Amino acid sequence: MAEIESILARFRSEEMNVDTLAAEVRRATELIASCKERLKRAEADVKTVLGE
Amino acid sequence: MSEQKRHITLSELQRAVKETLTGRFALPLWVAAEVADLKVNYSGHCYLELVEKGERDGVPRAQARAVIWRSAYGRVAAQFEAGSGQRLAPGLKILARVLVTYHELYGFSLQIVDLDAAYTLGDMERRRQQTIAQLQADGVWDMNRELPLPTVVQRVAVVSSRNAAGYQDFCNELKKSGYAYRLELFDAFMQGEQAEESIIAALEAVAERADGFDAVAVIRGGGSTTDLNCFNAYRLCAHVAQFPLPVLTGIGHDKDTSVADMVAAVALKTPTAVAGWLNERMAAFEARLDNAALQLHAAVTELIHNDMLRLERASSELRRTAALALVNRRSRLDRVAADLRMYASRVTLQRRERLEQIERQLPERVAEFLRRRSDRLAAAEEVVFAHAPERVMRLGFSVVRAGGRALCSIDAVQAGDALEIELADGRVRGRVEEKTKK
Repeated sequence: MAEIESILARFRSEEMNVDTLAAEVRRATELIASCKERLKRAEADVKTVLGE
Repeated sequence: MSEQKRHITLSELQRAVKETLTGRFALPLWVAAEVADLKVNYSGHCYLELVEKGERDGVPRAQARAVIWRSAYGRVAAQFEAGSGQRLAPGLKILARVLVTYHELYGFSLQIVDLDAAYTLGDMERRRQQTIAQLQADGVWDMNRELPLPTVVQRVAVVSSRNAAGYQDFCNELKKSGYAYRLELFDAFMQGEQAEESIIAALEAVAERADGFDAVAVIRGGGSTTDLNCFNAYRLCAHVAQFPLPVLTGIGHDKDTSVADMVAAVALKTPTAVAGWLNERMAAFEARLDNAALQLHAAVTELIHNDMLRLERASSELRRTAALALVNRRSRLDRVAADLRMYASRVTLQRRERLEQIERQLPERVAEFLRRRSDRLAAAEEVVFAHAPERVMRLGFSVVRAGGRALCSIDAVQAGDALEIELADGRVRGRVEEKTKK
């Protein structure tokens, strides 16, 4: 998540050229997907734990 | 050859004198005189030297020999002694009934046929009164009696005659008591002509070592007939009155009180009485000691008893207080324990409630947390999606590269440089024809 945030910060500061941009977007997209996956798992775990 | 003068012989003259005297003094007459000397010789006759002294200076005015024949001496002396309480002795003033005698060989002499004891007695009394008056005039009358007597009279200087019966009585009486006296005898003649000076000398010897004694005892045994004159004499009495130590007298007479007795700190009749007085004083002191010991014992016993009582009271007080304190502590402990239980249960309750609250809130919090994360992810995804080059290029933007590098400024290329333009769906090649700065 921290990495995603730093990528977003770099987007906002526009200190990125087009060539690196594609790689960063790809990295961020992967990270987001991974986070979504973990979030989903956590949600499921929590449900299991709390639901007992 | 001169004419022989008329004369008589010595014996004739003597006879004439004798006859004249005998004629003139046919009968006995009373004569007052002082005995200057007295001797009783082996044959039992008593020879005296009579004198008359000047009233003031004491210088002899007249002197005469006298005799009491053996035949009269026994009776005259006994009557005199009985009447005056004095033995006929030098120093006495006497009134004598005398016959004036004259002897061709022995000369003028007085034959004493009787003595008036009352005269001697009166003279002694007069001298006694004189001594008293003089001592009072001197201001020393009370001095010895005003001396403090030590509580314990133990070291006693004794002025007496070593062989006198009175001294032995005195010693024996003291010895009988068992008290530890320290006696020292200062030997003196206690009667006779030399008595006064001898006693004064002994007293002076004692006075030189006055620190070594508690008192001085002047004692003399014997009957009432012994002569008291020296104890009425001014010089001796003045010594006694001014003596640095208390003087105890036991002069051994019971008729008259001598002036020495009157000025002495303590006057007793006999040496034995002096010893008895000392013993009584010792006994009194011993009794005081015994009494003090008893009192001390009683006081100490009482103190101990009181202390024991106090100790007992204190110890029971201690037990009581300790028990009380123990009860107090126990009840405080109980209170604290109760408080603790209450507090513990309250805390437990609070914690439980808090836990339950947390438990209730947990799913919601977790859900909220996950939702926030999800929202942020979604926001991030949106931003990332906005930046995706494929999407931007589909909107009509393209990337121009020269020499493989994306152009961000016209300064990076020259006219005629080859360019490669990337679009969403493919690439276009071309060259730079003209640069125009904005």
